[in-house]
Formats: sequence, structure tokens, C-alpha cells
Amino acid sequence: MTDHDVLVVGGGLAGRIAALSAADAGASVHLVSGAEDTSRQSAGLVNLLGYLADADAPVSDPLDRLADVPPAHPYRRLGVDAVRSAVEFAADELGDAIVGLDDPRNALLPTELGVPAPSFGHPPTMTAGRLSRGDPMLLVDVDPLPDFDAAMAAHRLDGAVPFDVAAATIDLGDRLPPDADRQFLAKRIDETPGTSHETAIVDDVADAIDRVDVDPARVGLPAVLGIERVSEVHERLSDRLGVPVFEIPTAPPSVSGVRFDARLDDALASRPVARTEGVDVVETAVHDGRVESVAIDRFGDEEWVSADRVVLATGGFVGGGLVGDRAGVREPLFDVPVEAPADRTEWTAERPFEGQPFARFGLATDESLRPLVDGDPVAETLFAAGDVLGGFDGVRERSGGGVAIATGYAAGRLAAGVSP
Amino acid sequence: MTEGPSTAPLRVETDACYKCSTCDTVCPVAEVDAEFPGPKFQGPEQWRLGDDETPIDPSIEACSNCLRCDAACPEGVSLSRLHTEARARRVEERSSLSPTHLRDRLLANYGTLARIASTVPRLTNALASNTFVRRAAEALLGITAERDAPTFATQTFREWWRQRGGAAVENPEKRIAYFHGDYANYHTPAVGRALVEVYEHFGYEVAVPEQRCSGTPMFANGFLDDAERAATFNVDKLASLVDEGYDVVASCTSCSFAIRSEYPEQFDGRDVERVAARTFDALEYLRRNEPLEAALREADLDVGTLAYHAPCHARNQGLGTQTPETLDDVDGTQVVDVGDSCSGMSGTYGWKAERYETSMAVGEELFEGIESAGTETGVTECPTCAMQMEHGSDVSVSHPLELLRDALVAD
Repeated sequence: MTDHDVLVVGGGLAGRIAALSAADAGASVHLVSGAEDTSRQSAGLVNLLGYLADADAPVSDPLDRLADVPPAHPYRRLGVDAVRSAVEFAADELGDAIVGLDDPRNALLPTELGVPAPSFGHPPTMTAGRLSRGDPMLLVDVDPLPDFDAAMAAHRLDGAVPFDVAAATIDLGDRLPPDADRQFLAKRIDETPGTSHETAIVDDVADAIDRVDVDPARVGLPAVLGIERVSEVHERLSDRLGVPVFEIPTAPPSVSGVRFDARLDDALASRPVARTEGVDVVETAVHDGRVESVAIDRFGDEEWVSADRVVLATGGFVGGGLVGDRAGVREPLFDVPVEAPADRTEWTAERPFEGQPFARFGLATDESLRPLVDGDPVAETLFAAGDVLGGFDGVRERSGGGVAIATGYAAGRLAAGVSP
Repeated sequence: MTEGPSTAPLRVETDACYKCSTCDTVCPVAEVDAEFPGPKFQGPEQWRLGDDETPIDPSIEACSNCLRCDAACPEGVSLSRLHTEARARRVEERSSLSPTHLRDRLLANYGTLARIASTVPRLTNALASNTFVRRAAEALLGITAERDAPTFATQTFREWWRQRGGAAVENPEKRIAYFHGDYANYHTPAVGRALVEVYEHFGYEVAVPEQRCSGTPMFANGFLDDAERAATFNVDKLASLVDEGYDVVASCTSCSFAIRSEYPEQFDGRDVERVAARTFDALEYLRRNEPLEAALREADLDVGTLAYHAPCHARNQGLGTQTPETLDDVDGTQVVDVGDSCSGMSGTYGWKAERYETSMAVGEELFEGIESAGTETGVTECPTCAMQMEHGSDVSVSHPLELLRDALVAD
């Protein structure tokens, strides 16, 4: 493999944004990624900052509140201007797949459980579901799909908002097998545009909703309205029903996560980024303050590849970028120790849904996102982005995507030799 | 077979699974067949929730062994081990007198059948294309009549190699042992000849060791004892060459995947690991060790647009982009990657009458991709993907090595 200007290790959201950012800055980029990105499981939203610390009330203006996060937080490291540039960059790359990135406020969307949740950017199909619209909703679940229970969600949501939320169930049992899941329905919707012999499934959905004895101002369904043809299907359903239709973000398998992942891949494909996918980086060589090369695992053999600068975007504990055991926490590729309490019982909070201390573990960096060991950069040419970083709790703050985008963008620019 | 100690580690393996469903979202069979429970069930759920007495769910037979699930798992759960063990147990639990069993055993041991059939290639080809024979094969054996059987070459690759007198280049510093696989040997010897010519062009001494089927169809059909016999033979032959400084290269990405990944997973032994670490895909090896890109920039190959399909087993080795990246450098050639989907063929899978429709439904996206590429020339590393591409579209498919040969080796 020829040497590149920038090597990105990790193909998650941070890694891919870093690769795009570096390529956009004119660098030649090689992206190495192992498994599928976990964004396939995500709701397909872009969450910049939903909550501050232990506050219960959601943040309404995340860009204004960036200064209020703790000093070690990546947003503070980068500064508001860099975060704004990152958001603009992401908006360009994601195109019409995500709306709201140019609006400085968070939107409140209903989740699958009927909980109002803040979100900075979301798919256009979810726009009509914004709670700020204030008009009554009908939530619809689809038999035989599992997981989403409209009655339960509506009941919970109704208590949290000033407008009425009703629920209904429609039955697609004659179009779908009993084992069908959301992705299966979405694929069928994509493939069944309707012909003279076969009605489009989306029209069956419309007919079933029409038969519901409620006259709502807007109708919400779990995100299933196709993968490839989602805009067309969404428009068609809204036209048929004569009211705005919105998708509700769901837990995995998440069709909107699959769409988001596909859009990122499309963005990458349109750039001359060399990609090695399906294999892990297992070793690194650092000499004289530079990352000389990294080794890709080739089934027991190692392929060493080099680049002028490297972006480490290998993820947190989930992605495998951080490893924790009795000996402590560390980043395994460059063997960087990560600060964590010696008493491991302090890694977790007592109650599972509280903010967890381990969620904040990760690499400490300098202002240029260079990981530090004992206060000094591991290497001048090494930058880090995404969940491998410490100082933030992506789950409690609803900031994981935002941190990935902001630090990925910045690390990509820095690795390409320009400032973010 | 899989009792006691070998199941315990499997159950421990499943501990890393947190049911994110990523495997389910990449499974090509689950996408088109709602009755197929998907890799999450076939793998972690089945192994977690069952015990030694619980029979394996018969739906494992609908799994095509593409192993995208294995590559996709963010936690590194070895879905390939879980599925292979499930298949092996299923075969044990299923009656060995059932038509399915007999048919699967025939397909899995294709290498043996092919060896016999290749001694009378013209007769075999005539029989295989005879409508009555095809219909009988479907009715009696469950082998679909929809597909054209691959033709047997009148001279196998090994026959050509022998007739040629073996290696034309001697070089103790650069030696490769070619694992050609049954398909190239009996059906597409031109691929093998192309490999030899390209490697000799770069100054390699080529050896063609005795070999058997890599075992891929045996793993895919749950015949682990057959697979072990084939693997033992192959590893034995290859290990002695590796010890003499040879690296092993394969032209079929399922062969290289079997040796590099499935052998070490299923079989113990330092020889197995040593051979796995020195086995490569033929194009991968050239890209890493030779100035291939530079050589190609000087070459020209007027083939116009090529529709490239990355085999699942190539993707799983991290080789999904090598062919477009290599061939795009050549003047007069433009490579279009026809998309992310599985071809649906999956070796023996697409030959089973009860799987034919699923196989074609999975391949639908591939066929559409080929059509949008607007060309009649396809390219791929996997012979059964090639079969599917030719069956479902109007393309004629070459192996990347054949194109390299055309570009680099003067006639």
C-alpha cells in the first residue's frame, strides 16, 4: 500500500468524519476499519448536547451551552468555533439526510418509549414529530412488528406534553410474516412500489390508518418507511392521509440508523479515500515522536502501513478502543494508561440509569487532540477522536454523536495539517 | 462431537454479545426471508439458551455461510464458530438417510465428484446440460435445474502444469505455493494459468502442491469430519512448503478464507496456525510485495467498464476494495463496484432447489447493480459469485488475475 498523508484507524462516526475532513482538506487518506460501525444501531440522530451534568431539564441551545461543560470535555478543548465548523461540515456531508443542523436549537422528539428527548439534527421524516409544533398526535404501532407499543408510548407522552396524544394499532399481518422485524418491513416497502397486481405496502398502511376512528393533526409511526426510497414513501403516505406523518426513532434494529450509516458511506465513496475494511489494527510503531507505522492483522500475518499523521478513532469500551480489567483502563494500541479510580467499585454508579463514571474514562489530550501520557503527547503525529476520548459522558449528556463529529472533524483537519 | 469442553468456550464466547442486532442487519438471507431467524438467533441466542440436549433449530440449514455477520459484529463474537458448530450438530441430529443429507454430502464433497467427472469432460458436460438429467437431479436430489452446470475444461490446470513441466522460473528468494482450488482446476484453468504467468512475470518460483478441496463447502454444510480430513491433508502439504520459505497464495477468496480463518478456528495445531499466517489472496500478495500499481500505470488494457462484485469472503478478509483500487489505475479500464450486497450464490447454497429462490432474491441487488454499470464484462475473485453474476445478468465474468495477465504479460 502506498503511504498516505493521513491514516484513520476506526470506521465509526468519528473515524469516517475524520477521513472526510482530512480528504476535504486535500490530504490523501487511508481509512482502516474493523467491524461494522455501531451507528447502524443508533436512532440516526445527531445529538450535540442534550443535557448538562446532572440537570434533568434538556438543553435548548446547545451551541450556547458548550462553555458550560466541564473543562476536560472535548467541546471545551476544541472551542465553540471549531464545533460550529464541524457541524457545518457534517451538514454538508450528510446533505438532506439530516435536517436541523443549521438551527442552533435542539428539537424535542418523542422516543419509542414516549419520552421527550432533545435532538440537534434528525432525519427529515421526523420533523413533523417535533413536540414544539404543539398539535395533537396519533401514534401508530404496526402488528406484527415487535417493540413499539403505541398505547404505552402515547400514555407516557400525553402526560408530558400540553397536547393530546392518542394511540392506535394497525395490522399488516396479511402482508408480513409473523417474524418480521422493522428492517424486513422497510425493505419490503422499498421493493413494493405498487403495480397493477400488487398494492404498495405503504398504501396498505395508509388504508389501515384511515380506518382508525381518530382525526389527528399528525400521525407518528416507528421508523420503517423504507431505506432507499424513504423520502418518496414518506411523501406518499403524508399525501394519502392528508396530514403530516412523522417517523419515531427506535432502538435496534434501527432502520434510521442503517440509513444514516449508508449516507456516511456514500459520502466517503464520493471522495478518493482508500479503505481497508474488515480487519483490525493490532500494533503500532512510534519513533522519535512520530507514528512510524501501524500493523493491520492479516490472519496472523501483519501488514504494516504508514502515513504522515494518524487519527485514532477506535471507540470507547463498546468499540474496543478502550480496555478495562483488573489492572486498570488503557488504550491498547499505543498502550496509553487511562485515568480511572484504583478502586474499581468506583467505576460504576449505584443505579444503572444514573450517569456512570466509566462513561467518562478515556484519553486525555492537548488542545490539538493529541493523546497525552504523563502530560506529554504520545506522538506529534497522533490525534484522537470520538469515544476513545475521555472527559464526557455521551449517554448522560446525549452528546456522543456531537463529540464524534466535532472531534472527528478537528482531528481530520489537524492531521491534514490545517487548523479546524 | 461437540460435547463438553468444546461447547463451554462457545457459551463463553456468547458472553460478549449484547444483542445489538448488527449481525441481523447485515444478514442477506434474513433480509429476504422473514422466516429465517437471523444470525443473532442462530448464534448467541441458540448457544446461550440451549444445553447439550436441546436440538439445533433446523433453520440453520437456511444460513448461507456468507459470514457477513461474523465480520460485522462490533464485539468480535465468533459467529462463524457458532454457526459452524450449529451446522455440525444439526447434521448429527438429522437422519443421515434423509435426501437432504445425501444431497448436501454430495455437494460438500464436490471435489471428489469433480475429479471423477473431469476424466471424461465432454461426456460430463453433455450429461450436465441434458434437460432430463437436470430435471432428475432436481426431483431426486434437490439440486436445482434452473442453473447451468459449470463446464469441465478439457485440460485441467494441473494437467497443464504437468505438461508444461512445472515452474519456468527458479528463485529461492521468492517462492509461492499456489492453492488453486477445485473450481479453477476443473472449470477455469485459465485463472490458474493467468496466476502462474503473472507471478512468473514478477520473478516468482511457483509450486503447485498436492491439494484437496479447501473444505469451504464442507464447513458450509456441516460436515466437519470431512472438512478435517481435507484440512489435515492440505495443511500437511502446505506446511512443509511454508517451512521451505514458500508463501501460499490462493486465487479463490473462499479458499484463502478457509485456510486463514476457518482452519485455525476449528482445528488445533501449530501447523494450522503457521500455514494460516503465511496464506494470502493472490492479488493481496502482489499488492503488498510488488510494485503492482507502478507496473499497471505503464500498462494498458482496453476492457472499458468492468462491473466488479466483492465476494463476501473477500470482504471478510479486508479485501473488498483491492480489485477496484488496483485496476482503476490501468489505462482504458474503469471499474464500477456494483454494490455492497451478497451475490446470494454462496457456493453450494444456490444449487439447492429449496434455496434457489432465496439465492436469487439476495442476488437481486447485485443484478440491478450490474445493469446500472452498463457493461457486459464482470470481474470477481470468487468462482461461485461469478456463476451467479452470469446466471442473473448478461455479463461474462473474468478473474482479476486474468486481467492482470492481459495487462502485464506480453503474448
